Amino acid sequence: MMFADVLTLLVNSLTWAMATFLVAAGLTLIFGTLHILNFSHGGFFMIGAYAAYSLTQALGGSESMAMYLFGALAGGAVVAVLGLAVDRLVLRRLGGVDDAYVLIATYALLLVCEGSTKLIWGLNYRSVMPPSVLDGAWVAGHAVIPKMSLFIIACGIAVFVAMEYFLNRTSSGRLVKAIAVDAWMARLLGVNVRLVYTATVAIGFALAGLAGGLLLANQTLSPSLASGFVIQAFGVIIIGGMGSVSGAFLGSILLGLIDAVGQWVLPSLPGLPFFIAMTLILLLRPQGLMGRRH
Amino acid sequence: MSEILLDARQLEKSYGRITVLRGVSLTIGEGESHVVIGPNGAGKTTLFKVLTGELLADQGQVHFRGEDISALPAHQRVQRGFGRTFQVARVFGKLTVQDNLHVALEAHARSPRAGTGMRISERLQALLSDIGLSAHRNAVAGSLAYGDRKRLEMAMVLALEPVALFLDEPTAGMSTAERHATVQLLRHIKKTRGLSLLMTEHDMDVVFGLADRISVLHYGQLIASGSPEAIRNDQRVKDIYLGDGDAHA
Amino acid sequence: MHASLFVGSHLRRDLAILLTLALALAGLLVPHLLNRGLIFIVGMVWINAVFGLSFNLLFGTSGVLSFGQAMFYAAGAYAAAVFTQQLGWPLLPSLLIAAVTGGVLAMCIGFVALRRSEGVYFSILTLAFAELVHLLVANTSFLGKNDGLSALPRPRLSVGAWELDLSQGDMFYYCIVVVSVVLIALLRWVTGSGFGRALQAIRQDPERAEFLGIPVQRYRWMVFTLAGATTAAAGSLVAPWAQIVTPELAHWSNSTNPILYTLLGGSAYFWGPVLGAVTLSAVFYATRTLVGLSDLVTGMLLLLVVLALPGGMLGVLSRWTRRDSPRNETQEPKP
Repeated sequence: MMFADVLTLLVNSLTWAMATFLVAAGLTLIFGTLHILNFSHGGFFMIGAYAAYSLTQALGGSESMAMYLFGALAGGAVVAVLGLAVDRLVLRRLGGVDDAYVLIATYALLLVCEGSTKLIWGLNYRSVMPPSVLDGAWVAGHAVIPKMSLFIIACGIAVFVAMEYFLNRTSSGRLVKAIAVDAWMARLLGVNVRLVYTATVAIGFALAGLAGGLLLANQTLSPSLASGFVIQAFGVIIIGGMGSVSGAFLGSILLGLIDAVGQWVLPSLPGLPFFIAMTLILLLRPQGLMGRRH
Repeated sequence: MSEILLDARQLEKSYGRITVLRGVSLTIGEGESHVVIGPNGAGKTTLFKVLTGELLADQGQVHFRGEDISALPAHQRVQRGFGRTFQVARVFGKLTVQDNLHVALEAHARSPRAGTGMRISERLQALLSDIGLSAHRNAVAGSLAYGDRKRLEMAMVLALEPVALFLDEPTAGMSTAERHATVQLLRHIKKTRGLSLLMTEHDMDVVFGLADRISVLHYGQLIASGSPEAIRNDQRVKDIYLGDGDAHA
Repeated sequence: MHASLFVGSHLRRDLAILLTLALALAGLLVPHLLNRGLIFIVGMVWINAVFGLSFNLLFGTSGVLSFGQAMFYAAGAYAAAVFTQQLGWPLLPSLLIAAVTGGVLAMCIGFVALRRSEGVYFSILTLAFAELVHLLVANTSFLGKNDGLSALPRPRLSVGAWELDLSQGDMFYYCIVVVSVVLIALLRWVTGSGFGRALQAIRQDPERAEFLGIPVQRYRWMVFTLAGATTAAAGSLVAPWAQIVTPELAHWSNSTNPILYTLLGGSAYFWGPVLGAVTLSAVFYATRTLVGLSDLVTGMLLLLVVLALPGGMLGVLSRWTRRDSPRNETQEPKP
C-alpha cells in the first residue's frame, strides 16, 4: 500500500472522527453531568446547521471565512437559547422519571426538531459551498487532501482542547465535574446545582449548534441529517465511555479508523464495522474505554 | 439438629482491591437458628449475598444438602428450598396482597419441589389467615403499613415452602414491641415448619432470644462461632464489642 | 379470585374477548364503508396494533425496553416477500415461516443481549443490532438492496384442497383482520397467564421475583423471542398488503412507532397500544398534507404523555372514571 493511500485513509478517518466528535462532545457533556442521554442532540445539531445556513444566506453568502465562522457561532447561540428553553420545559421535569421514559422523552424532542425543520425549511436538499479559503485541496504527491477536511480536524482538536481546559483547569469546569460525580454532596456544600445544570445544558446545546454550523459545507443539508449523526454520536460516546470528553475524543478517532479501514476492506457494506464495534463494546465493556460503571 | 443443611467453606470475596470476605466457613444444621453478628462493614451483607446467590464468591464453596450450589444463580437456590427476606421488606407494591401471594404460589408450583397437595386458591386462603392479612386481601401492597408489608413478605416466602430462611436484619427499624412480636413469630415459624434460619442482626436481645448458634464476623473473617454462651464468654468477641480502640473502625 | 391488579386478570377475560370480537366485527364492516385508500390504512392499523401489542408485551408487561423491534418486523416482511414471490408459497406457510424467522432472530439476539446487558445499555444495544440488520438488508442483492422487493403478490390461502384467491377485492383485508385477531388473542392469553403474571412481577421488582424462584433471565429471553415472532408475523402481513418491502421497514424510526402507540394509549393497559395505533393513524392521516406536521404533532403528543400524562390515554380515562366511581377503596382492575 502506498504512502498516499495511507495518508488518504488517515485524513478520511480523522475527518469523520472530528466531525463526529464535534457532535458528540455536547452529548457526552450533558450525559456526564445530568445523566440524561439526549436522543435529540442530533436534531439540535441539524437546527444549528439550518440556522447558520439561513443566516449566512440572508447576509450574502458564506464565501468569506469570517462569514462562515460567524454563521457557525450564530448557530451555536441560537441552539443554546433553544437549549435553555428545553431545559426549563422538558429536562427539569425528567428528574425523577424512569430511565426508559427519559429516553423516550428525548426521542420525542428529536421528532419535534425534525418536524419543525421540515415545516420551516421544507424537504429539499441544499448544498452549501465552503468558504473560498477552504475550497479545493492540497496535493501531496499522489495524495489529495481536501482543505475542508483539515479545517474540520482543526475544529475538532480546538473544541477538544477548549473543553479539556475548561473542565480541568477552570474552577467552574471542575465544579461541573464534581457535580457529575456527586451532585448530592455538591448540594450539601451549598452549590447551586440547578444553575450548573442549566449552564451545562446551554454549553452542550451550544456545542451541537456550533458543530452544525462548522460542518455546514461538509455534507448536504437535509432533514435527515439528524438521524445520521444521532447514531454515530451514540456509538462514539458508548465506545469512549458515556460522560467522558476525552473518551469521546479517543472513541471517535478509533471509530474513524475502523470506519475508514472498513470502507477500504468492505466497501459493499458501509458502516458495518462501526456497528460491530459498537455492539462488541456494549457486550464486553458497556462502560466504554474510559467510562465508569453506573 | 442432626444433619448439616448448609455448608459454606472458605468463602472469599473482593470488590476490586478490597477484600470483604476472607476464608469464611460456617455450617447450619437442620432446624437450627444461626445468627451472624459483627460490626458494620464486617462483611455480613456480602456473606449473605454470597450464600443466597445474589453474588458469586471468588473462591470457596457452598453446599446445600450435600449438593454443591456454589455456581447456582439465586432463583435455582430458591427452588431448592431457600427463602429470603430483605432488610427493607420487598413486595410487589403495585399489586394487591392477594396478587403478591399468587405470584409466590405460582412460582412454587412451577419449581421442582412443588407438591401435589392443595390447589393454589386454597393455599392462598390458608396463607392469608396464617399471617392475618385476610382483611387486606384486596389492598394494594404499596399502601400497607410497614408491619403488614413485612408480614406479607414473610407469607410470600413461606408460600415457597422453604427449608432454610435467610433473613437480612429482620427487626431493622422496629420498636421494642414489634421486635418482640417478630421474635415470637420467627420462633413459631421455625418450630411449626421445622425450618433452619440464617439471619444477620444487630439487636442483641433478638440475637440471644433466637439463636441456637452465633457466628461473629470481623473485617471479613469469622473470629468465633458457637453457642450463645460460648460467644458471650469469648475473649476476642468481648474485645471487639466492649474494648479496644479499633472496634468500630 | 376477587380483585386483582394483574393486567389480563381473570375477571376481565370475558370482557376482553368480547371486545376483541367487537373490534373484529367493526373491522369486517369497514370495506363496505370506505374507499380503497382508507381501507389500506385501516389494514395497516390492524398490523400496527399487533406491532404495538408485541412491543408492550416486552415493555409494559415485562419491563424490557427494546429500541430495535423494527428488525423483527422487517425480518417477517422480507421472509414473507421472498417466500410468496420467489417461491410461490401460499399464505399460511409464509406467515408461519415469517414468524419463525422473527422468533429465531430474537432468540439469538436476545441470548446475547439479555445475558450481558442491563437497562439503558440493553436498549441501545437493541438499537445497534437493529441498525446492523438494516444495513445488511439494504446491502443484500437478493433482497433488492435499497429498492427492496416490489410487485409482491397477494398469495392464495390454501387449506388442504380448498383454495381462496386473496388478490380479489377486499379479501386480503379480511385476512388481515382474522390473522390480527388471532395474534391479539395470543398476546392477550400470554399476558393473562401465569407466565404473564410472573413477567409483571419481574417488571416491578426483578430481584424480588428472582428470590421467589422465578428464572428472571430465562423468562425475559422467552418473552423477547415470543415478541420477535409476533412482530415478524405482523410484518409478514405488510408484504402482501403494501405489495412492496424496503429496508426502511428496518430503520430505527420504524422501531419507535410501537413505542409511540404504546405510550400514547397507555403502557399499563393491555389495550393501550391498540388505542394508540388507532389514534396515531388518525393523526398521521389528518396531518398528511403538511410535511413535517406529523413529526411535530407526534413528538409533542409523546412529550405530553411522558411529562404530564404518564398513563397515556387509558390512564387519563381510568382516573376520570375512578373519580366518578363511589368505590375508591381498592384500585379498579383495568382491561
